[in-house]
Amino acid sequence: MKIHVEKNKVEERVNEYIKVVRSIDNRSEVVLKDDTLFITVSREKLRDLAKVIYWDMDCFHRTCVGVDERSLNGYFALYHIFGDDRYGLNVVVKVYGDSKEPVFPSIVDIVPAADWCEMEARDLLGFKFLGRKEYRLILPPSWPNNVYPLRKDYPYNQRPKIIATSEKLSGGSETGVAVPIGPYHPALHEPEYFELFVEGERVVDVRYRGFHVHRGIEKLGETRMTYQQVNFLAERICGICGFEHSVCYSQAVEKAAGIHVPERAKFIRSIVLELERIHSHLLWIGVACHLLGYDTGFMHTWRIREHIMIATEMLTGSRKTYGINLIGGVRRDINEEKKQRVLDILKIVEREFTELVETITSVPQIKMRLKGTGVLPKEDARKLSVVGPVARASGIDRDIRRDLPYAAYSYASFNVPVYDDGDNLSRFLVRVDEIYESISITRQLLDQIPKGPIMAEEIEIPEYRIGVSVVEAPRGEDVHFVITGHGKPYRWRVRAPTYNNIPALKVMLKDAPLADAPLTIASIDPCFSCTDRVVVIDVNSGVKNKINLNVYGLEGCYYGF
Amino acid sequence: MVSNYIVYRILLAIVLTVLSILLPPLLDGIERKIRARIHSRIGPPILQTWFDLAKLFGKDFVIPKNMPYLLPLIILLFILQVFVIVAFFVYSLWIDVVNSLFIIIALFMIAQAIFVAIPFVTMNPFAIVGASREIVLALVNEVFFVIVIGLLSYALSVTEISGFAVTANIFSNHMLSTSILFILLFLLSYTVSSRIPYDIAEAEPELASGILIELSGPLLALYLYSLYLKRYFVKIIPIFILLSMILGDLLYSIVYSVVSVVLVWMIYGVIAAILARSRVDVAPITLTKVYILFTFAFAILYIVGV
Repeated sequence: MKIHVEKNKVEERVNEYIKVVRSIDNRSEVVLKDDTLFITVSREKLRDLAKVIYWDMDCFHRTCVGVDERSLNGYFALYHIFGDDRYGLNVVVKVYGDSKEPVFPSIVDIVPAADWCEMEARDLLGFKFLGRKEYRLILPPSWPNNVYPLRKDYPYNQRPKIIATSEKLSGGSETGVAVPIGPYHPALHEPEYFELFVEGERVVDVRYRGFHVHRGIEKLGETRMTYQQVNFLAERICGICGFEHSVCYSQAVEKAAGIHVPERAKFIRSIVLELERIHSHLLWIGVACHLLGYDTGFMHTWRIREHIMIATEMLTGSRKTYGINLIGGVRRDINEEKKQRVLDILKIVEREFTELVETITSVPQIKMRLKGTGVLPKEDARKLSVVGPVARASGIDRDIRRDLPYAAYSYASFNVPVYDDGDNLSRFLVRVDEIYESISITRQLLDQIPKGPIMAEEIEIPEYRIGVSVVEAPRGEDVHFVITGHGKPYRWRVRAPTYNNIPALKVMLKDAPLADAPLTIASIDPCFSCTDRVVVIDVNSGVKNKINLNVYGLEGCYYGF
Repeated sequence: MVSNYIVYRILLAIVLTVLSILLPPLLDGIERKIRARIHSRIGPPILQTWFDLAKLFGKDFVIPKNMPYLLPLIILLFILQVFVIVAFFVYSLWIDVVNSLFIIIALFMIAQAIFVAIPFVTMNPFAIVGASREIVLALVNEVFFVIVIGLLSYALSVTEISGFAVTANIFSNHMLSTSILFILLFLLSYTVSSRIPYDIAEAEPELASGILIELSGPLLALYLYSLYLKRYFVKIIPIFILLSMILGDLLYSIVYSVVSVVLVWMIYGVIAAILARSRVDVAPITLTKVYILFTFAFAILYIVGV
């Protein structure tokens, strides 16, 4: 059901924030703009404020963003973005760092979910974080020290000299035997590396090394593209749910610039977003069936998914990577004939999907292997700020479509499925229920779609405004943070949902049977390339950058877990 | 006249042996086609498995480093699997020998031991995990397969492969108990053939093909061919014993058995398509319980005399 937070309650909440912030740091600044509360505090007070916001005020940590603002104000800046979903607020806490030596207090012991984004800022901007163990997360070991590609004085096309080194992940198996899952493995459809330490068939420890697929998207968006071109780049972050990224980016810019998007365009965005969710969830259910050895379920799920691909092709001109989104609206309208055809397709999908789910859940091995495996307790889910179906399957009732309604979601009535067991079955059921909800939302929106233009008449984007946008993608919330610049974003930060969900895998895989590991990894519906989107890596220096992932090559190196 | 009959049987043995060695990849191809139809796909041509094998045989002959025993073991495995088929037809149609049933089963079990040993010599962690799973399953499935054949041999007082054709009277006296054994034997012929839900040693999504991971080219072709032959053998044995007792004629039984294998293979293929993969900590326990239950049921009914 929709939750309409009363306006005065939001005001009360904002006042509460102001009171809290003032009590911690009386020199702080607090500004509310739309649904985002901007707070600027001194570095010394960051940890105190983070603790109050994350735990006492029960917010989630969306991500943190390092920004080189030296050309604007002479400082580096670190933004921690929290989500107060119950009150429909984004809470952005900004601290400044020295222009020569940007040192910030780490909050990772208070907010474990901030682990990766702090290390990302360390790798790409050279930030130092006090009070934590630092490690290289994003950049390969061959990348030279003191070269920070997201700093503004680092040209996008500069190629640092690389000294070829081998990356050896395992420091030996202090517990059990190491079984390598990745970087290329049938269960992983993108290159990632999990090292599972097993005793017999029981996983006793897990290590993860990701970020093999760096495409330099943020740097490209900040240097080589115009505002509108970034839409198309953003859509290419993900091959499955790219439209969410495109919409999320557009909304961030629109919020920063105060652009009014026509209602009809908002409806079209929501309709396409929901069709993308249906195809994505069907894709995942098929993959889950395949991993469980039930290829009949796999094939039929994908057969049903084909109807959705036909519908999106009809609406947007493309089966995937639709390319209809722009800042200010959309490029393609929906007429009555298409509307009716989509409704007919949804009827077929609903009927066939119902039959298929009944069949899948009647296979004894499917239920046996889904139930009670890959458990993520609610406390861990909360601690790690996991998102999307992973959170909802662990009893955390959050869905951005309802909590911070965007596009046309405030016009639709829908349920947010929540299960408490936190196992693979719960994640399966959340996605099954969400397909039905998405079908319902699409029908409602098609029924209510208003007449009118599909593009804003005037698009003016003033410089150096901040926009934070959150969109509920099939895997969880996408977060896009934009500081507007001259003709292009000054800073564009992307956080894909998998970024927050991967750290939860350590909890889910530990003490579980090895046989369930691929399914559990898949149960977060990981999109590794969405997560690995950060930096430009040398490919033309003539020096090959080899990463040796031979499990027998032993040399200690600590990552993430 | 007698000599013509013997020549006829010898020729039939040769023809059926050659057919039975060549047939399994084709049956696998038909199974793939049927499975594809269940999946709502067109599927590959029915000769695809043969094409795959031919292609693999045409690849470079690569023996992984530090694995000197791999080649002789795979060749030995293939020869043994072929010999099990040859022995079955020769004993049943040409010259039977004392305890021929047990000789065939013993040869089959040696082949199974080699099946399990091969992944171990590859030293790949996935192969070793797969092989460990195969051992656990073999300790349940293959062992019970032998036990059930032994119980049938005891119940019907037969130790030669050709002897089942004259057991119709005994079968009629112990029809219920013997039927229980046959149900169990057909169940075992499914589980021994490493199909879903019991393909956990291969388990492609989790073990990246497990026991097969280090094999390529002709080595993989020989290993896979051996697997198809194994599947063929574990199907034809229960079919042959059942038909021998029902028909009481060795010649007809053996010919109909070869024909029936096609049907049973397809039924097994359909069953595999509607099930999902089990887990190594669940499958052996479940199967053991089922096997023990059936065995006890047989024992009680046999003692009662039905």
